[in-house]
Amino acid sequence: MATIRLGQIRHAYGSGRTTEEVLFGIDQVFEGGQAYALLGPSGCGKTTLLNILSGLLRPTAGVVTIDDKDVTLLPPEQRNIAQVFQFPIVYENMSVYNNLAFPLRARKYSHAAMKQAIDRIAEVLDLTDLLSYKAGKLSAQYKQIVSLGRGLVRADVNAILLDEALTAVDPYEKWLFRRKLKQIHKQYPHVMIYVTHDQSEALTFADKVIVMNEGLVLQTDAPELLFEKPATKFVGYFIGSPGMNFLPVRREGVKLSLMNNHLCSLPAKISKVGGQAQAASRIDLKHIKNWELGIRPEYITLDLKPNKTTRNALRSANFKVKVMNVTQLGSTNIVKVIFAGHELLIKVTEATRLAETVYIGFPPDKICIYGDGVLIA
Amino acid sequence: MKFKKRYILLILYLLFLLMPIYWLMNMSFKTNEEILGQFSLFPETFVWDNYITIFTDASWYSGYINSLIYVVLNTIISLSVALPAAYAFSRYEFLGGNHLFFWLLSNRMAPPAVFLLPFLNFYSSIGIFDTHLAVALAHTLFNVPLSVWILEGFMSGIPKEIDESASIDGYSFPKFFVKLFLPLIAPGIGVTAFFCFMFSWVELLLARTLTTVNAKPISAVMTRTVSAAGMDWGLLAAAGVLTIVPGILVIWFVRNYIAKGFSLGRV
Repeated sequence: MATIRLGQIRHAYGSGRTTEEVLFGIDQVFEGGQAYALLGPSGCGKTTLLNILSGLLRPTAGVVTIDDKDVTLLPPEQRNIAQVFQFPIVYENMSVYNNLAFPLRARKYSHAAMKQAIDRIAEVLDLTDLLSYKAGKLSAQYKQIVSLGRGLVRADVNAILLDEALTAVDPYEKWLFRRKLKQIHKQYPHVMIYVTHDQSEALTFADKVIVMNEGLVLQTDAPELLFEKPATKFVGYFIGSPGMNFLPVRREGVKLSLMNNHLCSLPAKISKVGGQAQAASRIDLKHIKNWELGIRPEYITLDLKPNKTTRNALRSANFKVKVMNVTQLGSTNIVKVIFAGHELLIKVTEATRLAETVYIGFPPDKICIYGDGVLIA
Repeated sequence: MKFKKRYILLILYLLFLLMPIYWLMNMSFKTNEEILGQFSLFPETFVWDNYITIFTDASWYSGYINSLIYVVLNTIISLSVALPAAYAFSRYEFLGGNHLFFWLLSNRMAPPAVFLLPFLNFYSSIGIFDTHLAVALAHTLFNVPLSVWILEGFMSGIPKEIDESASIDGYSFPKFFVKLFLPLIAPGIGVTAFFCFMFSWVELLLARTLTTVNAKPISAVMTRTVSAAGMDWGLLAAAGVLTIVPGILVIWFVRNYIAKGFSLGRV
């Protein structure tokens, strides 16, 4: 069970005047046997982080340790980490068998052990019939599968890093390979890190999802938590389709309210829950300027008539709003309404009846409170 | 198969192209009397004497041996220098890299005669005049830049991710370079070797000037065949035929990649 730790990793490309900083101090622990998904928009530093893990890049500052051994300065070949790139990389002059054998030869596997490992991986990835083919003659998809196989063939690696490794694979076969990856991963105690900018891929694949943006890790959590309690406004917006709705709320003393409806009370001293600010912890709520409420489009209730049975105005569908438009997405519809001058998106089932004006409500247990963009409660 | 009109030009072209080579072979199997005496499309008295002389007379066959030694030596030196250089140019960005790369090629723009005097004087003073090494080294001045350019083209066709991938697969740089990278650019190396070989094999001026006896190349031997009995035409023709043979052999091995080589590895 290898544990990989990143300590205050910073990285900048270039030097002198043309320096471009891409990572701004990343602390992260990767535990053996866990599958992680690294999720973030293009250009947020995912690949850079991966290359620092594998040793292709030396971080400008910070420490990488594998099982408490400092490997920051070690080259990739001494780290025993497998990495699969976004684009298929095969050794074109070799057969598929020799491609798969290549990493094993470097580690001096015996002939029998090598054959066994290759047969096993070839069977899982359906490459058995292709073993004697020249890798250069394969289609892009099979090349990608061969490079995947080369990453997975070593059973004793510390970690397997997959950099959007299924990009070249047909969409309808992607889920199949994702399942195969999980299946292979279950047999071994290594860390698996899957980089993607596709959230559905990340949420279905990983035990834990790491959301990155602009060179910072915003949240590391199980997919459910990421959905229910996004640590920052960015995570809320980035995860989910469509993203989270945000509404400004008023603070009077320790009380927060939305349209004169009491939301919740805060203690005078609070701690930020989310983001990199975790360590900064307790801050005075007076210092927070912007208070906002976040709610998922899935959780807003919608009715044709006002519901007067419950006292809680937030829970019951009690705010009268005008429907602007409806986008149909097959089994669900996205309803856009205007609420107190703000656009809100509501996800309802196809069967939900709609009118020009509807009544909406916010279940209190599904509401997240953000202070200056960071999750408070 | 029906004869097509458009083949006529092709056949004429081949005819003109092969004419001198055919005539050379024709001459090499004739006696001097027949060569000088009459016009004949085929040798009337077919003789092997000319070839026998070349393979038995040390002053002739040593010319081939000398040429082959310095040509091979030159090819080895050029490749072993150009391979790391081309790798650096194709993989790293360094200060003045592009300028240096272009400047390399400008070395080839000077005629070999320009370097005759410095080479002659320098090699004499360090005592390697009239050795195979002298010619081989002199030819590297022209072959290394070309080799770097051709190899760089071939290497740039291999994505950098291959290097990274090999490193991740557990190969240190030297191991990667020998076990993976060199086989990958093998066609490039073959074509480069061919260009080095051909330049060095046909170059006359430097080879003749930098040698006298011990390393005298075949091209120099051929220019000095005027004896007391006059020109030995048949012998000269036989030597000419034998000089073409290595070129044909080398071309045969790299025939599929020569076009890419002429475009300096850039497809």
